[in-house]
Amino acid sequence: MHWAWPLVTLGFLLSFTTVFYFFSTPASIAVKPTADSTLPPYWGVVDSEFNWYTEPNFHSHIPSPPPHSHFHPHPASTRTYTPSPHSLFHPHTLRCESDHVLFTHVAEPFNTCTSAAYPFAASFAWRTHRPLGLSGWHLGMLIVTVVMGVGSMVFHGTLRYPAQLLDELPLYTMAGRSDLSLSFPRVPVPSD
Amino acid sequence: MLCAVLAAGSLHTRSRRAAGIQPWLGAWTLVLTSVLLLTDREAPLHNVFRGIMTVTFSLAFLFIFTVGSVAANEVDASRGGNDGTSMFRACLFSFVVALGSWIVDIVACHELQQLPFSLPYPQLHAFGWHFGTCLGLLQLFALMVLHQHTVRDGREARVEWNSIYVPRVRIAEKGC
Repeated sequence: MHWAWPLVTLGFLLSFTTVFYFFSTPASIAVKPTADSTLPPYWGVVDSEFNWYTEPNFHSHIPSPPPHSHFHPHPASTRTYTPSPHSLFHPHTLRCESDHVLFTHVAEPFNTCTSAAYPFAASFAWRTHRPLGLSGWHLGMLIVTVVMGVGSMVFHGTLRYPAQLLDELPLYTMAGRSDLSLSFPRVPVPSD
Repeated sequence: MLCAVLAAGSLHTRSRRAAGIQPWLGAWTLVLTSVLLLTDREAPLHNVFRGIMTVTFSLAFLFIFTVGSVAANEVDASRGGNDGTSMFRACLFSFVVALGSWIVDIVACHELQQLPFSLPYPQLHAFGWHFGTCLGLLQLFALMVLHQHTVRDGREARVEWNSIYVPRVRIAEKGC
């Protein structure tokens, strides 16, 4: 495959993700400190940059536990959100996964559970390719993948900013390590 | 234009030994991590470094796939067949699906909440982004291992694919 294909395809997609991630985060995932600071979830005030939160009364099919119950310790009526007028997708107070609906201690159960795939994948890759004699460089990548997965679980489970960094920084490290791993050009094989 | 510059830079960089870059990358990652962890979230320095992290992550992503395609071609040129290209294509497809899911999940969140026939919200971030990148990482890792094993170490290997398109690189038996 010619190198231009991935460059153009991913360049197109990454232009969106880069803008959405930092420069103009859509209201559907953006947490505005002044708006969501009234949220009283288990792990404290949601202060991450992102929250795949769904306005509680939007999901009519999700039964709402009574206020202060074991499963839902904080009344949904205290949740308020005022979208920023400057955000890209302003009109709705809508996010993409409900917070603390199924479990008290896990903010986003779907995102948290699926993040566990990274440590499993790293374990699978290690077991599969261990007989080849993995280099320290490759082992380091697998370790970073495990850390990344744990960080992602903690982030989606708590929606706290330090946990978000625990998700982001290993991901960044992984990208750098992958770059260097692939950057070694063909090495001439010494003749026997 | 930007793509052309990036491509030229990527391939030019790859034409040299990258070993000297490793300590610099490690130092940069350490500086970035320190600044983000030790500065106040509202501080300008913190935000500048978050911005740099976001942009350079995307550039690193592009670099991975640009040089990855070259590495896949080297694998096929070295050992014959098309395993390298197949692994790279599968990896690229996984990441395209993952990135697409990430974008659609936040752009079309409202529409996805109202799917016809009372279909549930598809949780594209969870199932598309997390599983897609996970699968892509497995495929990318296998390609790296195959490249290391065959192109750089000059050894033989065979590739097996399982039902969910995850490649496994195995040591080739003599005479295979």
